[in-house]
This record gives sequence, structure tokens and C-alpha cells, in this order.
Amino acid sequence: MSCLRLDDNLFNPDKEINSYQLNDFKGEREISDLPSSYVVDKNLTSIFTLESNDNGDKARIYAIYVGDKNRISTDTVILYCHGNKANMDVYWNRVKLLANVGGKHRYGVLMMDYRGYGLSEGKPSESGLYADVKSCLQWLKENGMSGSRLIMYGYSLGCAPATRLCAQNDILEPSKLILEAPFASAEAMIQDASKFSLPGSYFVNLEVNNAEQIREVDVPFCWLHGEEDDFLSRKYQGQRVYDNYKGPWKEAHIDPKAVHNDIPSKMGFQNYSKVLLDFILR
Amino acid sequence: MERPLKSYYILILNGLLWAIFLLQSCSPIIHVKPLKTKQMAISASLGGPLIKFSGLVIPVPMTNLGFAYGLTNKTTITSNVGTTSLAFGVGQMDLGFLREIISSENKSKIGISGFAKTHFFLDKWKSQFRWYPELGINVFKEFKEGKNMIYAGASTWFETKFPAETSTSKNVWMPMFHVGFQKRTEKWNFNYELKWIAPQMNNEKIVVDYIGIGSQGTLGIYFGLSRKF
Repeated sequence: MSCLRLDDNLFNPDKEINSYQLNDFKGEREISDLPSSYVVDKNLTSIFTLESNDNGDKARIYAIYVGDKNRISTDTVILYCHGNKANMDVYWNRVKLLANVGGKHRYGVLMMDYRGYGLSEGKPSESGLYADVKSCLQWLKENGMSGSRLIMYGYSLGCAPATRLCAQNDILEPSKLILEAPFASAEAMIQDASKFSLPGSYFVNLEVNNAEQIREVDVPFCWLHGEEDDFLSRKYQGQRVYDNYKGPWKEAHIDPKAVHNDIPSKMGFQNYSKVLLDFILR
Repeated sequence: MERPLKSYYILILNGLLWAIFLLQSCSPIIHVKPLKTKQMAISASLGGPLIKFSGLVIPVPMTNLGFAYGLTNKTTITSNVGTTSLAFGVGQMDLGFLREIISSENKSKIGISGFAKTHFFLDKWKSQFRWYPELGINVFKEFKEGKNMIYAGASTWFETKFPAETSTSKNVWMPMFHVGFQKRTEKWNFNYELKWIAPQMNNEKIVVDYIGIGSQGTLGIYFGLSRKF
């Protein structure tokens, strides 16, 4: 007899779409207050599919690349791993913002919908997350990308594959890691909520543990978190990830008023962009 | 129709809320007044913390089965098994006793009882074992020749896993307050109970969306019945 498990609660995909709307998306989106000046060139926006193989569980996933695909062999690219909500439409403004860091289209930005999200096939899973982001790394590599020009950016749930694939990666080793509002581990989320030492295995079979995985990351690390984060607390989640990092460089940017999903807005888009640019260039 | 962003959070919150209090607050007091010497009782309970579900506030439907035995007129030993926990692959049971401190056999019909329990947990996934002691006290008043009873009290679990594996387990205790009504017949007791769990805990800035009093703790409602032999 199978037992109840809460693993699926880590994922909240929305598959009820027929196509990606991007600029025309009418639903509630992340950083909805992005000024209209943060546009991207339609000719430099590509939606395409990749095959992701999670130990034989193959799924066709969707990805968006903003930038000149013919220049991936020379450009710096930000691989953006989005959060646990909905699909890429919700995060489109974040991609536009990243595509404007340091000037319009200074950096290429790649984002994917994990399996089970948006139009991507399959069912979300922890191992699927890693496989899906790996398929993006493979695509970048096949297009001439080198690890020295690759920036890994994880937001919330996306911090799991971002951290994991900076720590253990046989395809491309990113040169820098940015984590926005990371969680320490599935168990830490449970203990944070229960305020007691309940083992994570009482509820989930998830092994994700960013706070431990970060110990293996040896590339520069930038951490962004909102002090008022009402979902993943700065103190009990993100701080543990930051404290455990032992690599060559780390920097923290804690916005005193930001909650979970509005750090760029609360920091101010220019300030947020400058923080990222300075980190990428350092 | 587009789903508002907040609802995505609520999805995960409901699931976690289910889990968090599964182990900590899954049963009502049931035995407020000790059984008679050599009297036995089996019990079942249903209820849990209040959650928002599809726009409604409902209690999480947790279930427990219990057994009690009157060692003396003043002391009853109790044991419960968390049946909902079993569905998660977690064996949960508690073992303890209830002791009359002040008898209600007086003019005011007000009595006081105290209880001590130890809760044990073991999961089948990683064989993770936990145990938590609990102490509590009840003040109760009987009406209608003992056929009705109102009661109130407090209890607390104690953390035993030190040093802290996470920063949050620095909490040494997990208090709860309860008020309830017990309908008593010769063979049956029926309990209706309201709990305020972890009132010291600010329920903001965490992954669960507690329904507490203000921003503190969470409320739970319970129904229990016991059959005496």
C-alpha cells in the first residue's frame, strides 16, 4: 500500500495554457511593475523545445532564449531557473529585466519550464528538475557556450537545480551562482513551520538540500533575500545557505522591505541590475 | 481563467499545514477525569488545525484511536495511536497517565487533573525516531450529576532533539491551550474541544498559513468519543 507523501506540494505548475503569451499574458505575474522601457527585441526572443532525460523518463520541455543564438559561443549567458509557480509567462518580466542588465541584450538569458509546467511534458519531480536544467546546459554547450561565460541564477524553487548543478555538473560548470530567496532544504521548511525537530522523511521523500549542496560550490556566490520574506524566511532559510558557502567569494543583498517575490521591485530595478552587473563583472 | 499568484502559495501551504500538525496536535484531551479502578475505555477522535480550503475554513480530518485503563480511582493510564500518521508511513503512539489532583467530589463540582505522556514516532522511510514528553493540566466542572462537563487547560510538548538540527528547533517547548465540553453517559463520553496551539509562535514569515489568533499560533477543533467498559 502506498503512503501519503507531500512531495508534490513542492510544485505548483499551471498547464492550462495552449501557448506562451509573454508580453500579452494577462494573468498576475512576477514584478508586474516593470517599466515598459525594459523591453526585449522580438527578433531576439526564441521559444523552442528540448528533450530532457531523467534516467530514462524523457520529456519534451519548453525554453525561451532572449539574445542572439548565433552569438552564444561568445556571449555571456544567464541561465534562469524560475520558481515553483505556474509557468514561464509568470516569470517573463524577470527575464526581460535580466536581459537589460548592463544594457539591452548585454547578456543572453535562457529560461525553461520544468517538466509538467506550462507546455512542457511530464510530471514535476525533484530529479526531473535537475534533468531539465541539465538539458538546457547541454543545449548551451552545443551552441558553443563555455562555463566561464555562464551565470547560474536560481529563484526560490529554482535555487535547487541552480545550486546542485553548480556543485555537481559534468556538462558545463557555471562561473558564478546567484540565488534569490533560496530555501535551505525540504526538511528545513517543515521544521521552520513546525518549530520542532520533525524529520523531513515524516512527510516527504525529497532530498533537496541547498544548505548542504552549497558547500560543494566553488564559484563566486551572490545571495538576494527579502527581510520580510513571508514564505521562506531570510533567517531560517536563506541565511543557512549563505553561511554554509565556503567558496572564493560571496556577497549578500538583503532588502529590508522585500517579501518573497518582489526583491527587484523593492530594491529598485536599477539598483537590482547594478548589483547583478557588479557581481557578474567582478 | 488565470489563477492569482497567491493561490499557488496556498496550494503548498495547505499541504504543509496538513503535515506540520499531523504529529503535534492530532487529538483532543479525551480523558479529563480519571476512570474508575479497573475500568477500561477505548476512544476515537477526529479533528485538527483549521485550514483554508476552497475558500472555507475547515479542520484537518486527523484520526486517532486510544485505550485507557483505570489503575486506581485517581490514576488512569492512557495510550493512543495516530492513524492518520500511519497513512504517511509514520508510526505514532503515546503512552502516559492521567492523575486526579483535586477531586470534583465537592460542593463546587470543580476538579483538577494533570497528565504526563511521551509521544513516540518512527518512520518507515529512514527509520527516523523522535520522542517528545508532554505535560498538561485540566480544570473541569461537572454539571447535571456528572453528565455534562466543561473543562479547560494547558499542556506543552518538549523538544528533545539537541543540539538543534535547524535553527527553529531551538524551541524548547510547544504549549497549547484547550477548552472543551464533555457529554457523559454511563458507557460513553463525547468530547468537543477547541485548541490554541503554539500561541507563542508568530505565524508570519513561515511557509504555512496558520489560522491563529491574530498572528499567533493556530486554532484547532476536535471531536472525540470513548466507550467505557
